[in-house]
Amino acid sequence: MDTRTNDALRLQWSIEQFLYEETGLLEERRFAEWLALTTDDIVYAMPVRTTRTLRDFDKRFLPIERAGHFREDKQTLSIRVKKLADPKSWSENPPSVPRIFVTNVRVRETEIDDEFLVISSFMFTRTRMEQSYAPITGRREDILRRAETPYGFMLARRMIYIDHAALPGSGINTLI
Amino acid sequence: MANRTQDLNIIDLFDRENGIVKASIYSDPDVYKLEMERIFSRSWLFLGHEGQIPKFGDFLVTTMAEDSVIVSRQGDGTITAILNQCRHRGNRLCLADMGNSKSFRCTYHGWVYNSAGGLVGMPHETDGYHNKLNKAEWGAIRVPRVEIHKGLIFGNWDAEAPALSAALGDVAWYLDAFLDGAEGGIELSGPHRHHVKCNWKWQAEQHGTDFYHAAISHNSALTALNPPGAPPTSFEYTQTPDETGYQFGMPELGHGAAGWFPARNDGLVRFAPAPAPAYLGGPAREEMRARLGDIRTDEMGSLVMTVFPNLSLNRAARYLRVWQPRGPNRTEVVHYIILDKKMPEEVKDAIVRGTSFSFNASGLFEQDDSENVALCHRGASEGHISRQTPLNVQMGLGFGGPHPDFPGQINHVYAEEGARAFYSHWQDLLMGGAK
Ligand code: FES
Ligand SMILES: [Fe+2]
Repeated sequence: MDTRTNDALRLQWSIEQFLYEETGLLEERRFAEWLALTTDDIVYAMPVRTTRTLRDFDKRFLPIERAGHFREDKQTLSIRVKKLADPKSWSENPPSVPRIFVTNVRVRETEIDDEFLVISSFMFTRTRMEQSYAPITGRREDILRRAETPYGFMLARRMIYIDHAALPGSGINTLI
Repeated sequence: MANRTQDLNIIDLFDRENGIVKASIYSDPDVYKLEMERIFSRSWLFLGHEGQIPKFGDFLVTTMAEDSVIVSRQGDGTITAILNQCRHRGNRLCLADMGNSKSFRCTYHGWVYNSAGGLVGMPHETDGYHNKLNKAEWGAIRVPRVEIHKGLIFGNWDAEAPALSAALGDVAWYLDAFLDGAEGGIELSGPHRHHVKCNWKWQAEQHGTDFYHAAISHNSALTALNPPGAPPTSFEYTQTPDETGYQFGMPELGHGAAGWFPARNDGLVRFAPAPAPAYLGGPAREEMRARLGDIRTDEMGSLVMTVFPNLSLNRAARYLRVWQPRGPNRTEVVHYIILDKKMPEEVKDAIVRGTSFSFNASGLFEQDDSENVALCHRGASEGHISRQTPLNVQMGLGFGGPHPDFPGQINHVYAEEGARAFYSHWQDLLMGGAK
C-alpha cells in the first residue's frame, strides 16, 4: 500500500474511533467527559426541516440563524450537562436510555489543516421505563479538530440534520 | 348525536361549582369526537401570521385540529384558507409545508384548483365528463370565515360564528402585549414542530393557568442557570418564586392568562443572550411603553396565556404555539418564536437561540414540561379505575373577582381560575351551548 492510501486509511479509522468513543460517552451518560471533547468555540445545532417541493428543495432546512430546534455554544451545552446531573431533572430521573447508531462515515479535508468535515448517518432511540420513543434519524455534519485528547480529536461543530418535519418523541433530553 | 351526548353525561365531566374534572376527558374517544364536532368546528383557530405569506401565491399548509388546510395570499391581498383535499377522491392537494403557487394540481387524476379553492379544470373534461361537471359545485371546501387580529390569521368552520373580536373579548388586551409593542408588528420564527404523547387539553389548559408548577417542575433548569458558585436553588440569576401575581379567567370564552405581576418586571429579557437584553431593555422598551402603557410594559413580562381552544403564548420566552390534536392520545406542538419585525438581525438571532435553549422541544424547561404532561396523560388514561378518578381543579376557587388594572375575572397567580374558565367553556360547547 502506498503512503497516501495508508494515511487516508489511518485518518478514516481514527476519526471513526473518535465518533464511536464520543457517542459511547453519550450513551453511557458520561456527559461531562463528552463536553471535555468539545472545543470552546463549539457550535452544536439542529436545524428545522420542512417538506418542500423539488423546486424549493434547497430551502428544506430553515436558516439556522432564524429558526432551529436548538443551537448551543460551549456555555449553553455546559448548562445542559449541569442540568442532566441534577437529580431534580425530572425528565431524566430515572434516566432514559439513549442509544445512538452511527454509520456511513465520510471524511473530507477542509481548508484548515487538522480540521476535517465528517459526515455520518445516525439513528437515535430513547427508552424510558417500559416505553421506547419513536426513533430519530438523520445526518450529522461534524467538524473535528486534531487535539491532544485521549481520542486524538475534539468536536468543533455538530450540525444535526434530522429526517423529520416534526420531531418525534417530544424532542431530545440528552445529547446526540 | 343526542344519544352519544347523553351517554357521555357531559355535565358530569366537569363540575364547575366544585372544580372537579373527570380523568376520562383526556382519553375517551367519544369526548374527542365531540370536541372535533363542537369545539374545533366552531371556534376561531390560529392558522398563521400574515408575514409568512406576504406575496400573491404564497401559501402555508397547517391544520385546524386534524384537518389539513392551505392558507394562501390572493392577488387582491386577502387571505383564504381551503381544505387540503381533492373533491374527486379526497387526495391531498398540496404536500409541501410552504411555498408559492397560485394553483394546486391533484397528483392522482389531475383536477386543478386555484388557491382560493375554485375548481378550474381537469383532464378529459370533454370526453370523460361530457362537459357536464359543474365546476362551481366541486371546488375545494373553503374555510368560510378567515379573520385577522394584528397580523395573526384565524379561521373558523362555522359560517355563523361571532366575529373574531367578539370571541377574543377581554383576552385581546393580554394578547396585544405580544403583538403590538413595536411599530411594524411581529414576525414568527418557525414553525418548529414536535409530538407529545398526551391529549391536547393538558397543555392548552396549563398555559392559561399554571404558574404553580414552575418552582418544582423547573427546579433543575433554574438551578443549572444559576451562575457558578451560587447555592443550588438560589434562583438569583433566573426566577424567584414570587408570591405575587395575577391570573385571569374568562369562563364565557374559555381564555386564561397568568403571570407574576407586577413584581416580575424583568421577564421581557429573561431568556435571550446578548445583545437582546440591552435592546429590549433600552429603546424597544420605551417604544413599548408609548404603545402599550406602563402596566403591560413594566409589570407583565412573565405573562403566559391560552386563547381558547388551543393557542398559547409565553411572553418571557417569546413563543407562540398551537396544540394540534392528533387523536385523543397525541398532540403535535406547532411552536413559533415571536420577533419584532424591526429588530436588528443580531437581536433576532439572540432571541432565537435563547428561546430554543429554554423552550423549544428539547429546551431546558420544555423537557420537564413535556415529560410531566405525558406522564399526566398516562396516569389519567391507563387503567379502568384511573380513568374514573375525579381530578382536582380547585385552587383559589371562590377567590376570584374584578381588579382595577386587569380585565376579566382575576385571582392570585397561584390559582386555577384559568383552568376552570377553560373547562367551563369547553363544557358549554360540548353541550351544544354558547359559542
Ligand atoms: S383524487 Fe384528485 S383528481 Fe382524482
Ligand atoms: Fe413549564
